[in-house]
Amino acid sequence: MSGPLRIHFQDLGKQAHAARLGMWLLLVSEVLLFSGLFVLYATYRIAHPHVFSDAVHHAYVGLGTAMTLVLITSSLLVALGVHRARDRSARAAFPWLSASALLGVLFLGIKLYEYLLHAREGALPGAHYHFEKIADPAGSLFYTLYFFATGLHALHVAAGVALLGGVAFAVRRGRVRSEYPIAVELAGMYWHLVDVIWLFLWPLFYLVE
Amino acid sequence: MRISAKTQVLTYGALVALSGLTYALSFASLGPWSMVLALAIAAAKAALVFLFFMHLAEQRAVNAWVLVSSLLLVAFFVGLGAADVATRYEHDGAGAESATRPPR
Repeated sequence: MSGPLRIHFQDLGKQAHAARLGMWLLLVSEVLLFSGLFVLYATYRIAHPHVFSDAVHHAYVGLGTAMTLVLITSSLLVALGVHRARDRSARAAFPWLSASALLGVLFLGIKLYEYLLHAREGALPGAHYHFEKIADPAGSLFYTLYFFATGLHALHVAAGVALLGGVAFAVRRGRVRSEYPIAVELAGMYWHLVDVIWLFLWPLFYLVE
Repeated sequence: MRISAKTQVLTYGALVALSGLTYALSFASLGPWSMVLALAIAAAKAALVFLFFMHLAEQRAVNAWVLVSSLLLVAFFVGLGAADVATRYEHDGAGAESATRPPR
């Protein structure tokens, strides 16, 4: 294989489009995965409005907002990295991708700390629930949803960090061609979706009382 | 159209500003409108990320169709699921609350 163009594509433009379309299809399947949890949130919140409102009131808003800003900033850094890869060389994306990955790790650290705070006060999922401030057993519905939704999201953040890190090292080692830096773009797209999902989790679990 | 680095930075500014707005509004007592507004702002932020950070605005239309149609399906999923529970009733009026009470 001499150039990046594969035999079944007419030109690089079509090849790149196919890659992006494939990634969009993956991303919407991820959206469908999370939508199951959003349906549960909607139905449980309609059924237990006061418990949910109370639970959101007890959320760690400062930590949640910090996590939101961390992810939005990391998305900017990734977007600028893609820009560099397109305009200069694939290698130029390395510092941007690395910085984004590190912000992802920061996000996970804050999340873990928050989970420990919840664990200490007994706000745990399912049968482990024993949060004194919300005695109603429907509180366990909220916290089960909270741990599942943010936990599934955190798994996606971890996957995104691995992806960004992997592509970062690939560009540094010269494994990504500067005339076809699609790998940087695709990793970036995955990361942006992880950000978008959090943009919905944040108001639902931290802000709207 | 080609999305510039400057556009990305402006998009970031808008995202931070909208996040600030969401945070500020969370202190206002708007009743059921709190949720509607918060989700509307989140949708606007998502649109900014899709269009500019993810370059959807520069890409071929079929990508946007894939995204929009899937979001429509999610809207049906969440909307009809919520409507189901919201319109249930029982003879004693307990309705949705008793239908979704967790087991002891």
